[in-house]
Amino acid sequence: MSEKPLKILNTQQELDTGSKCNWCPGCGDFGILIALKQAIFELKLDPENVMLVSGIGCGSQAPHLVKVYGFHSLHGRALPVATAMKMANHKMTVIVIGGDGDGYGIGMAHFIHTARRNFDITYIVQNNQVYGLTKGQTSPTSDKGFKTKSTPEGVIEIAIRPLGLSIMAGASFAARGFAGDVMHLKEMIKLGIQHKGFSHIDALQPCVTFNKVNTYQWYQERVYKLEKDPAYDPTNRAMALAKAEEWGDRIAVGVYYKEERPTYNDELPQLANGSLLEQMLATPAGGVDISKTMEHYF
Amino acid sequence: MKSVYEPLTWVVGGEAGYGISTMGASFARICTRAGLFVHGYGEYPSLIRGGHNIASVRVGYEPVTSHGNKIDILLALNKETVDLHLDEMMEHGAVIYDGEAMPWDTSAVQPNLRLVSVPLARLTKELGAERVMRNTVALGASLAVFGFEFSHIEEIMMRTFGKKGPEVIAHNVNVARAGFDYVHTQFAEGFPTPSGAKLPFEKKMHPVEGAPKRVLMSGNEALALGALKAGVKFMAAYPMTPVTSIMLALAGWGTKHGIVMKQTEDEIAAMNMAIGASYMGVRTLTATSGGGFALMTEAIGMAAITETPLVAIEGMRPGPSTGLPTWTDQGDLRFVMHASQGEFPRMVLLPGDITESFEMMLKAYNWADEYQMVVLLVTDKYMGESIHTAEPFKHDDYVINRGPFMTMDEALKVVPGTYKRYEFTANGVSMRAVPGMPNTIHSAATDEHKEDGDLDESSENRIKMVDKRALKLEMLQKNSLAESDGAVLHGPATADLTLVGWGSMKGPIMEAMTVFNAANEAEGKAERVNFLQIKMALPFPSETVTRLLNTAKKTLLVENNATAQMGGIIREHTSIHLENKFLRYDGRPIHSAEILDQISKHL
Repeated sequence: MSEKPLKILNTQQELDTGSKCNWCPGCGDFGILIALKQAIFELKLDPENVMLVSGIGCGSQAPHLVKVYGFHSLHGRALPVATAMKMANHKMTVIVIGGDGDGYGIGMAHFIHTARRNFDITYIVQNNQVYGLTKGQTSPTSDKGFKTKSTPEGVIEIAIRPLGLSIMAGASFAARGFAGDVMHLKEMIKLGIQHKGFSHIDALQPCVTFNKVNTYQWYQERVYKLEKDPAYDPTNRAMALAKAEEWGDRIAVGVYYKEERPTYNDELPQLANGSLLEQMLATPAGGVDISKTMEHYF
Repeated sequence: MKSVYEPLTWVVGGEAGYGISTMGASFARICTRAGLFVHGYGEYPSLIRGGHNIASVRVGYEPVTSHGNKIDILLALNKETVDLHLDEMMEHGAVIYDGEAMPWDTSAVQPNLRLVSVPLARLTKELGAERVMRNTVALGASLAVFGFEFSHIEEIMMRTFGKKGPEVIAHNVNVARAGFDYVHTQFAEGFPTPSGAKLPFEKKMHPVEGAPKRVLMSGNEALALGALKAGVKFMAAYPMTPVTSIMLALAGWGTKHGIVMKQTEDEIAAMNMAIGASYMGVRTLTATSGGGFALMTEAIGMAAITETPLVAIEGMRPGPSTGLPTWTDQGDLRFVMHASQGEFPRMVLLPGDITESFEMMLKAYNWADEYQMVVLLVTDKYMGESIHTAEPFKHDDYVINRGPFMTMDEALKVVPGTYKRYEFTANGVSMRAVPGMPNTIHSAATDEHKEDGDLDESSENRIKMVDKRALKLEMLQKNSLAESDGAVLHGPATADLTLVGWGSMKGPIMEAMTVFNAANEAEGKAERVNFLQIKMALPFPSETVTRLLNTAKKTLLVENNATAQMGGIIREHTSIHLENKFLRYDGRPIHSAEILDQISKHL
């Protein structure tokens, strides 16, 4: 496949699709969407080389709202879809976006295994601690005691700590942002996209309709920036894991953990001669020559 | 009935973990290279070590397409093999066993059995060989009873171990020779029998000089080879009996042919990955059995609504649930035809032997691409894991057809903002531009969408999109299928009894038909049978099947399941009720001798 001419965007508005958005006024998804678009624009990514993959949930409408290649997949399955896309055409920048139920609930197995595989993709989780699209049930990140329609007496189980999980599982970049601080979240997304390896970004966001506890104000009172602490070292795994335990009165945003290690695709010798797509398009019209392979069966 | 076609059946049995299936494969390979035809079938429990395993190889001068129910040569590597299989022995058969390691009271066994006691363990030890080489001693002894000259064995072993260097060859040849020579020197005057007489083993077979080279492979390997030929670049799979050997074959070819085989955390990921990679423009594959397919079902609908080409294999084993995990069955046909919510077109292909497995894979990829459709191939343990001799597959005339797939040059001419991934067209298939192409940015969704891919829940759009997807199958059937893709009548055009079957039952039915017709011809009897093979469950070849069944005098449906699923499908599509059925659902494949009995009952 010949290389296509590179496209440079002149304005961030060129990333708008004009599609109708279904989000409630004030939803944290807006902040995350703006941060994502700004990150793509400021990194001067060619939108034709960006693949945005989502699962199912309020925020998973994102691929229809950003003018890049989009795939709006199944609930919980965005990661296997996206990682296979990265293996098939590793020249694309692959970004995955989905909610806490999608990634930390139904898709948890894929989340853990994607982290340890270290594909060079960026995974943004719109974490609002509640199920919004189904109108307000408990989520894996809902705090113990949180009352929802499905847990009228309060959540019994304890909440998961997503950054601790991804770091333990092998994510080579783990960060947290807050939808109420778009500039900072945008920086996290940019760092994630630039990082070579699996970048997990937990994006805290209020759900203004179904979560009356974890509001903008609730977060603003608790959120502080890790980069302002000179003693914090994001390359220190033990320090990162300890920080990932912190939740409640103080919630850190910023880069929790970062390490350099080969990506999954770096270790695939099959990709030495180009992407699988390029090799597919170079396959002779009559198919692959299997005469040698057939001899093995004589 | 006297059969004019008498293959020899050799069976090796022993404890799981002692290389039983490898021995079966070696014996089959030697016979194939000697110009003979084989059908190799293995039975093993769902254990890695300790259970009873057998490998059975049926050998003939003509194509052998079924396993048998009688044993000519039994190689018993433990006492349990004798206990379990003695009653299956042919009257003049031979039992090879290690009389020193496995004492056995033979006074009560069939009087004419040839008792070939070979001290396998002692001979192995005397040669200073490792314990596992006992199998090679046993193979040498088997081939001596079987009737081969040692020069044949030596030549074949040299070809088999050629790459491993002269030392390995010499060692293996020496070990095999020890077993071979022992049989020749100790039993020169015949084999002892319980009746006291020393008798030769009469049903010997000899190599066919000048026979063409033929392949020996399993149904699974044929499917994998078909995928390779068609240009598959990516496979995602989770190991599951009986299809694991497909992923292993593609993994093995990965570096040489630029194929990534990803073992996943579960079948959900496997199917989602196969679809994700396909969406990017490469040919992909996944394969599983019923339980894994259950996990994949949601994603199949994703391929359908995003119109992403998908080729997947379902290898059946008996359910429900874990069922009989290492046995065979044809019980998942309805499941594969209807899996995933909602209504959408799909193809369900039913290869009947290794050659069809290979050929249908090639076609499956073209149909999937041409119509941006879900194409599912159904196989089973019996066909997938059995090994067969066949003429080398013909594939010189294959042409990859990717359907409407936009090239870079075409994409460069597209006016930005005008491309519609799901454009309504005359045949329902829209031009496909893969991500990374210029000027064709779009999004795909598992939600209902309009032509450009954006979400749309309107009544008008919904109806159009459902019809668009359905139209593809209609057009495929009209424009891309030959009559023989759907159903084929084997044997005489008119017959007194028409057998009806599909998938792995093709082999046993074909063998029964051939044997019956040849025997009747030899005896001057007029009755004949033929066989209607259904090769496609969706789209169902209604016209062909209706025409052929309407002219059939009498029918007999043969299926390896309890509920005659194909019978129901035939009735649904043709209104024809097949009353006579022969069904087996104990996890064991139906063999040709059972079908012969059934033919006799119905004629």
